[in-house]
Amino acid sequence: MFKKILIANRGEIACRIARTCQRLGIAAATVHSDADQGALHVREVGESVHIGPAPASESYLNIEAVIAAAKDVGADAIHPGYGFLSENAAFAEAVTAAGMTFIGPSPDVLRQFGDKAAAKAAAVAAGVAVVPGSKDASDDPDAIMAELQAMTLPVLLKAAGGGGGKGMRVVTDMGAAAADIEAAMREGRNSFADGRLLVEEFLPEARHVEVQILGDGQGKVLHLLERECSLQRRHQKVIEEAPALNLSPALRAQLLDSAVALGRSVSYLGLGTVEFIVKDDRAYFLEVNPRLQVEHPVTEMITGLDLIELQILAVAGHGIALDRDGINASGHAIEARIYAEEPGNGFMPSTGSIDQLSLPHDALRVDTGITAGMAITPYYDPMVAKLIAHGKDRAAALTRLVAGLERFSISGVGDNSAFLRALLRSVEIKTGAGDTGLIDRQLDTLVAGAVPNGARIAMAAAIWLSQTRRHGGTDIWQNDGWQTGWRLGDGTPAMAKAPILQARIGDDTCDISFGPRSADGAMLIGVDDNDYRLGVEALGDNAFEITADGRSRTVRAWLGDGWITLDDGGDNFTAQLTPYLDSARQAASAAFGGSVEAPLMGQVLAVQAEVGDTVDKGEVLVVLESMKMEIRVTAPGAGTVKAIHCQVGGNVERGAVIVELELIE
Amino acid sequence: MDALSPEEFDLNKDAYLERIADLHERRQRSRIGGSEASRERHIKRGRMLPRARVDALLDPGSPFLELAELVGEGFYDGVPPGGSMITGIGQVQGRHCMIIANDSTVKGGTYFGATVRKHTRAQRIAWQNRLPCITLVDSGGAFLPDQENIHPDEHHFGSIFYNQVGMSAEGIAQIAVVLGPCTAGGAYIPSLCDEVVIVRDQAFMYLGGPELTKAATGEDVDRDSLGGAQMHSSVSGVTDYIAENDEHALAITRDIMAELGEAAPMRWTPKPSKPPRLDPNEIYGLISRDARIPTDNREILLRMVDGSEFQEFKPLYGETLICGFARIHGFQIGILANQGVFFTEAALKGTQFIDICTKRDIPLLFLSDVAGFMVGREAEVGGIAKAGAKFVTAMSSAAVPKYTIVTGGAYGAGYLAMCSRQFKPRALFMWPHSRIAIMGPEQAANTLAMVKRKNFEANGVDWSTDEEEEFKAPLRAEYERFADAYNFAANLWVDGVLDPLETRHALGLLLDVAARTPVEETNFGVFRM
Repeated sequence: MFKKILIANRGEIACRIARTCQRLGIAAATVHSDADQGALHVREVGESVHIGPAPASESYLNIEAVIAAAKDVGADAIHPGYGFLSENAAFAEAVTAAGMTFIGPSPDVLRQFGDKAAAKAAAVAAGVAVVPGSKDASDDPDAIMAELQAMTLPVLLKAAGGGGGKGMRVVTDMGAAAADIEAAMREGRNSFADGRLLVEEFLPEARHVEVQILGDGQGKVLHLLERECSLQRRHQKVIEEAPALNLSPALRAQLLDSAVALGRSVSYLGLGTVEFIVKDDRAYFLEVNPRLQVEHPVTEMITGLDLIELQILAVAGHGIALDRDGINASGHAIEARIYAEEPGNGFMPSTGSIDQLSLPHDALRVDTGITAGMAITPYYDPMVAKLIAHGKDRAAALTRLVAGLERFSISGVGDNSAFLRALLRSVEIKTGAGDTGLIDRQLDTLVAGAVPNGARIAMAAAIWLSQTRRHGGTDIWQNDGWQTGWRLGDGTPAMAKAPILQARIGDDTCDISFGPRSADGAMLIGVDDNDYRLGVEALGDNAFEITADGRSRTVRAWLGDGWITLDDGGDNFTAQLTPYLDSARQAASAAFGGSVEAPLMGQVLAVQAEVGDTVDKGEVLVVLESMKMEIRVTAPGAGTVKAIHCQVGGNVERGAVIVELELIE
Repeated sequence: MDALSPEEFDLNKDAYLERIADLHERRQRSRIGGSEASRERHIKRGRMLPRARVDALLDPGSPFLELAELVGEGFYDGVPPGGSMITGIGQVQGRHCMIIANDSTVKGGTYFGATVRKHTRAQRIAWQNRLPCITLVDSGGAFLPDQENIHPDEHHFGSIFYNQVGMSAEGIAQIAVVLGPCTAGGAYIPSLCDEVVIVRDQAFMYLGGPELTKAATGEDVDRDSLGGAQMHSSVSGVTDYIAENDEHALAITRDIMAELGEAAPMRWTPKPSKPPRLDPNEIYGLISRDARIPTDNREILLRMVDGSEFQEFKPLYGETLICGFARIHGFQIGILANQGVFFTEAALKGTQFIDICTKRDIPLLFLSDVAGFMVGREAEVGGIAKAGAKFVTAMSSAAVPKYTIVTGGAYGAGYLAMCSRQFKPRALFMWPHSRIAIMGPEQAANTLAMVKRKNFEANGVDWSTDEEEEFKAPLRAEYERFADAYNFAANLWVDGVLDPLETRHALGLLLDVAARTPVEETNFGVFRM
C-alpha cells in the first residue's frame, strides 16, 4: 500500500481525497499556487507545497513542479483528482519515471481516451455504438467545414482534446459556421493545447447517462452502476443523479455491458466513466473520462462505497475486493453543484472574497473546498460546493436536496443557488430527469425565478438601514428608533424624495428610498416605484423578525461592507448596496472618461481595436479569458479609440481601465 | 387644577385634531414647491428637485429638522409657504449640519424678504450651534420690488455674508454647491465659502451676466467663458470641485463633509432616552379648546419628558411658575412652565431656578402660556416690578442653551419674560393653537373702547353698547389674526409651528446638537434687590 499520496489538485476534491487517505492510514500532502495560499485544501490536508504562480498553467498544470513537490514530501504516489493533470499521459509517464505511482489508468489508455477520435475508434472496436459523424479529428478549418457541409444541421463541434463541456459548439447556422469553427479551435488550443475538432451529429433533447467503471488493470472490470447527468447548461453538468431514470431494462443492460466491454478491451485500471448519449431507445458512446468524476458522490451514496478507496486499492495492486453481485444500490441520490456565478448576468463567474457561507452540513453530504474569509479567484473553476442528497426514492432525495439548498447562503460573490432551487422545483424536474437541452430552453424562466421580488428587497433594505443605524445608546440622531428618517409630519407617508441606495442583485438594479418610521415602529421602504411598510426586530444570531401587514416572519441576514444577504425561508439572495450618489458619480466619470474597464480579472486573449479606430456602441474591443470563459469587453458608446492599456497574453485586474475611448455624443 | 371631565377631554381632542390637520395641510402646500410645470421643467433639465437634493445629501435614515417651513405664507403671489427655500438640520457623514437650499422651482429661487430672513435665521441657528453650513445655491437673485426687506438693514442680504465670514472665522465650515446660475450678490454666497462645488453646463457664477457685461463694457462674452464651471474650476479658482450633474455634486459634497476634522466633544452625558410614562397623545385632550379656560401645564409637561419624571423645584412656593428638572431624550433640562400669571414669588423662584441651572450647565426650556405680570396695589407694593426685573435679568443673562415653546397664550411682558425672540433662545416654536400678542383680543378691544368711551363722555356724546360692540368686533378680529401662530411663523418671528407630539423629538434633536457646543460662562446683570 502507498505510504504517502501527493494530491495534485485543489478545492473540494483535494479535501475529499485526503479524507479517504486519512481513513486508510495513508499520509497525504497537497500543492498550492500563489492564489491558494491559505486555501481550505491546504489547511485540511495539513501539508502542502507551493508550486507556482496563480495561473494553472504555471502551477497545477506544471508537471515538473508537481513531481518535485511529490519528491519533496516523500510521496510514493500521486492522485491527480479531476481536471488539471488528471488525464495527462505525459504527466502519468513523468510520475512513473520519477519512481512513483500515478493513481489512474496507464498513459496509453489516457492517450487513447484523451483523444476523442481515438476513443471513438476504441469504442467501435469494442462493439459499442457511436454517434454518426467524422471518424478522425482535424485541425484544418476547411476540412472541418467540408465535413460539416456534408451533414444536416445541427451539428456538434467537439475539441478532440476537450472534456467537461469545454471546446464544444453547436452549429445551427451555416452562416456562423466559420466563426464557430474558429472559436471551438481557439478554445481547444487554449484549454487543451489541441486545436483539432471532431464533427458529430447533434442530438438535441437527448439525455446524458454515464456508467462508472472500476478496473484492476489485469482485465477485471466492474461497473458501479450508472448516473444520469442530463441536466446541463451549455454542456456543463448542473444536476447529477443515480441511478438513471426511466431506462428500459434492455437499454440499461446495454449501457452497463458496453461500458464494461470497453474497459476490458483496454485492461482498464482504476476509476473511469463511460459516457453515453441516450435518445429515446438509442444509446451512443460519447467519451470516456479516465479519472475520478466530479459527480462520483451520487454513486457513493447509493452504493455505500468509497470510490476513492477502491481506486487507490486497485491502482496499488490490491485488486478489487468486490464483484458485481456485491454492488447493491439503495435509494436515489442527487447532487447539485453550487458555483460562484451570476445567473442573471449570463452565468458570468463571480469572483471575490466570501464574506459569509452557510452550508447545510447536518442535512446533506456537502463536499466543499472553501470557507468564509477565502476568495473565489478568477484562476480556477468557481465551484463553491457540491450538495448531495440521498433518499429512499427520487422524490425523497429531491425534497431533501431542495430543503438543503434553502439553507445554503453565501455573501460576497454571486451564486447559482436560487437558480438551482428554481430548477429543482420545476414540474419538469419533479416528473422526470429532463434532457440536456431543458435548462437552456427554460433558462429565462429559471433565471427569473431566481430574482427576488420587491418585498424581499424591501426586507433586505429595512434590515440594512436598521443595522446601519445604531442600537440603544444615547446618540439620538443616529439611533435606530423613531428618529430614523424623522421629519416634521404632514399627515402623509413622506417617502424621501430621492433614492438613498442602489441595490444590485445579479444583473438587476433597483433604487431604494426610505421614509420615516411610523408610530408603530414600521419603516417605509421604497423599491423603485413600490412602497412597503415593514417592522424590523433584530433577534440576534443573524435572525430578524419582519412584520408587515400584521404578519411576522423570521428571516436571516448577513451584512458587510456594501452588501447584504437575505435568507427568507430558504430563498436567499445577495444585494450589493451602494449609496445612490456613488452610482451617479460612477456614471458621471464613465460618461466623461470613456474608460472601458475589465469586468473581471483575467488574461487578454485578443485586442480587436487599435488606437484611432472608430468603434460603434457594443463593438468588441478586447476578449478576456477569465474563469475559463471568454468575455467580450465592448464599447459603452460610439467613439474613437484613444488608448489601449492591455496586450494579448497579459493579465488585467478587475476594474482596470483597459481601453480609453473618446466618445461621440 | 381640577381634572378634566372625559367629555371635555374628548371635545378638546377633537378640536385639536382639526388644528393638526390644518397644520399638515399647510406643510403639504409648503413641501410641493413650485408649480407642476416648473417642477417638470426642472426635472426635464436633468436636475433634482430641491427636496430630493436634501434627501440625497443626508445620511440614509438621518432625521431632518426643518425650520421656518411656513415663512412667507400668503405674502407673495404664487409663492407657497417656505419662501422659495428649504432650511433645516440633518446629518451628513455623521456630522450635524445646517442645510440651506434654494428652491428654483419657485420663481427661480428668488430671494424675497422672507427668503433673506429665513436664510439669515438658519445661519444664526447654525452659528449658535456651531453647525457647518451646506448651501445649495440655485437662485435667480433678489426680488427687486421687495428691496426694502432685502437690502438695507441687518438680517437682510448682507447679513448672509457677515454670518458666513463670522462662522468661517470660528471654524464652522461653509460649503456651497452651485447648482444653477448665480449672479451679482448671489455669486458672493459661494465665493465666501470654504469649499465650493459647481455643476458643469448648469451652474454659472458672475458678478454681472453676459447682458450686463455687454451693456457695461461692450464686451461680447458667452456664459461659459464668463462664469462656467470649467472656467471657475480651472482658471479663476472661484470654485474648487467640478461636478457633472446634481447627484455628482452632492456626492462630492458628502466627500467634503467626511473631511471636516475632529467632531466636537459632548458637554453633557445623556442617559438612554425613555418615552413618557403618561401617554403624550393625551396632550391633545388636555389643551383647552377655549382660550379663556386655562390649560393645566403641569399635565402637559409630564407628557413631554422622559418617563414623565419631573423633579419639581419649590413646588409650594410661587405656584404660578412651575420649575423643575427633567430629561428629554436623555438630556437633562431645566423647565419653566407657566401655571397662571407671574406673581412676585413666582418671579423670585424662577430667578433662583435659572441661577441654579446656569451654575450646573443645564439648558433651559420655557413653556410659555402667560397673560402677564400681576397688577394691582398689592402686587406693586410687594415689588413685582423688582421681582420681574430679577427674573428678566436672570433669563436674559443665562448663557446656557435656551429653548422656548409657546404652548398657550403668551402676552405682553409675560411673553418677553418667558424667553421671547429678543432673548435669543436657540429655537422658538409655537403650537398650532398658541397666540402671542401685547394683550389678548378682548383686553385690547376693552382697553381701546374704554379710551374711546372716556373721550365720548368728556364731549358729552352718547355711545351705545351696540356701537361699542361694533367698534370692538374688528379690533378683536385683528388681534386674533395677529396673535395667530401662523402669522408669527409667516413673519419668521418664530422658527416654526410644531405639533405638540413632535415637540419632544425636535427638542431632543436640538439638545443633542447643543451638547456639542462649548460651555459659555454666565455673567448676570445687576439684580435689583
